Amino acid sequence: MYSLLLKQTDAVNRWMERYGVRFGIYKNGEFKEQLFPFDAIPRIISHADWQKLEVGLKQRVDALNAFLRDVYTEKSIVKDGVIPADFIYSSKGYLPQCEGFEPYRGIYSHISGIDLVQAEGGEWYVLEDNLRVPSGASYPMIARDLTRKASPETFTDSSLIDNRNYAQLLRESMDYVNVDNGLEVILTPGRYNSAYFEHSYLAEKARVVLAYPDDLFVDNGHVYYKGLNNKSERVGVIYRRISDEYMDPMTFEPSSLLGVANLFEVYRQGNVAIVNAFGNGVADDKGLYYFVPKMVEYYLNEKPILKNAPTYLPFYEEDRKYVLENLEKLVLKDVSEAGGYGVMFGRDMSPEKLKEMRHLIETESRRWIAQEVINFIDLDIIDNGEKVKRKADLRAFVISGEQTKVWASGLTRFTRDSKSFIVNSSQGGGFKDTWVLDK
Amino acid sequence: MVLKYSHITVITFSSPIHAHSFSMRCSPYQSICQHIIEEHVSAIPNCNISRNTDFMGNTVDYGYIDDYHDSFAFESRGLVSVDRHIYPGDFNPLFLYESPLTSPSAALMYLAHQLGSTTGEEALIRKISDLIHVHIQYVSGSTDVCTSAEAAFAQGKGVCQDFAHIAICLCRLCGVAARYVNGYMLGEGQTHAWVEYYVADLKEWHAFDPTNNKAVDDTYIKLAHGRDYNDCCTNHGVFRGAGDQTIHVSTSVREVLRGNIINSTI
Repeated sequence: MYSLLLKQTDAVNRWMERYGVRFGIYKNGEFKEQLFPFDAIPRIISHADWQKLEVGLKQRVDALNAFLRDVYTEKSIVKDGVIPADFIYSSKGYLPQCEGFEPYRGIYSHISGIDLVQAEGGEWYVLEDNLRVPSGASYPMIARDLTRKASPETFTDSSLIDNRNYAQLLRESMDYVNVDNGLEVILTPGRYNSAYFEHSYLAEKARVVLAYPDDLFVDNGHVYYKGLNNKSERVGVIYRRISDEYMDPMTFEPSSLLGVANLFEVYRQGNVAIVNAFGNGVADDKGLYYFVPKMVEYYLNEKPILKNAPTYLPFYEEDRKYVLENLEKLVLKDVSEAGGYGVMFGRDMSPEKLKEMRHLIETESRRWIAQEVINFIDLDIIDNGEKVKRKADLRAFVISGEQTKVWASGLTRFTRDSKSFIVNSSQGGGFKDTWVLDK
Repeated sequence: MVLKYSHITVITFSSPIHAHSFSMRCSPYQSICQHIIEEHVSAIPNCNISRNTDFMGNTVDYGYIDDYHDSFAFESRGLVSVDRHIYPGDFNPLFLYESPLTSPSAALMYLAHQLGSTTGEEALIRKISDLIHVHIQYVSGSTDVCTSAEAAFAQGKGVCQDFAHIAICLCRLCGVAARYVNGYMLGEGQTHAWVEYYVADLKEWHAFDPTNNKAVDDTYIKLAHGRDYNDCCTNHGVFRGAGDQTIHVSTSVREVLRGNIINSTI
């Protein structure tokens, strides 16, 4: 169903280059932009698979939002003994500054990026929840646009769901939380950010203003956008693409030049909505991941539909014993690292390294999680004209507004290196379009 | 006691600056222990001053000056009737965890170990305060606002902020929740710092001044509390421009006899 499209791969990649579809990476202190290679063979998800994924993803994100509301107010999940207090208070993503405040309309994670893999048996597993500033939606968006242009026949023949509604979903969510119908902006740190292409593309597609930190200021309890000729406009919602700690030098990192001074005060007064809200890092912490299925049961009183990869917390004695005995076959993750860093496979460790890690697991048990290695389905890619198999994952995007909706597409990333298991784009690698069949 | 306070911050810039945002925590903490009879804040150059309550319940006054200026002044003044500094409240585990300025060193952990058998929060804080005075000498200007408990302890000298940080660190190591307090004190020409520790049986926060080695009484005015100094910073600012800045702060706290309140001019 995509054979015609394959002939156009080069054309699509040339278009992407022209449109500046790039991904920036910092290596050894230097900023480098590289093309994000597109592979034309789509990942195809059957209608039945998608229906299950969709319900499961909504359920998971609803539970995560309920958790965030609870953790910054009542903390009933801690009081009821489901999550130990230590996992909250010593999480790097926990922001005490958010205590006792609920964002407008109770939504913390407006845009959630849930990373999944499909195991050989067909079952989907969640590897990671990204609730801070998940990036990547723009790549499949533009890929679909360009592939439709390069090979229109492919899309008249295939019965797949049109995914060109992401910007509309984003806009609906921003409209829903916009305070008093103010200006809607996407806040970018600027062109040296790894996802700058995405920021500008989303602003254009969602028809909102692309703002730089200098464009915004706080006065009289509100945020304003400095327009042309000193005409200031009140801002109602900011879809920020800057991490919490750089957003307001008065409350967080004082040396930040990317932030807007006193923004946090305005946010806490309910005079501006921030998408995604502050403090979400406590829920997508790798240590908290273990508890997400428990959150589904606790808040929604439902059985979790999506599975976690089998995970062990060395914090618990029983799990620690298992991890120490089976480290060679497990994957070990440092909970404080992100972007594919701090992920180690036991089977690749030297005897000295194993000894060192075992020691660290015993002395700093809260710092680690260990998971069984899942044999996930490899996807076909074209490498130098040949079809080869590579590891791939799927980032599904869930948008929360008046309702929780799942974008019928997603970012499929694959490793270019046949030996690598890590598909994060910060580590190199390419992407595919994700097709969801509508019957 | 009824106290009349005034706190003036003046910053002068060697060349004009603009796009100046400020955030001040120098108005009294709102609580049943401190009845605010009158209060007033003002800034020069004239601008909008917005008020918010932060996550600790502290009052924050913030604002923005877009135009070029070469000096900035902020005044907070008023009249407060202060009772005993005993604050009822639920236990909050946040105040048991270390914070950037109160993380312990091996030496502090060793000291805490020696205190291990002390029972009762009040007895503990008194012992801690006595111990601090054995190890730390008050030397004004010996540390700055970024100095941690660990660093001050290592050099054996510090100011009220360091006495408070070390006391907080030791309380937490001994399993007693403790928080940093910034405020004014009768007869002090600058802001002062002390601690509040949690008395679990009474579900109350009690206040102690480790610098002066005594319980906090009604001659103190509380402005803000937090995990450490960073949560209570009196003055934060961000602006655009080159050049140096010089900051001058003056605080005055005087007792007002109750009969004179109506006639007092503040």
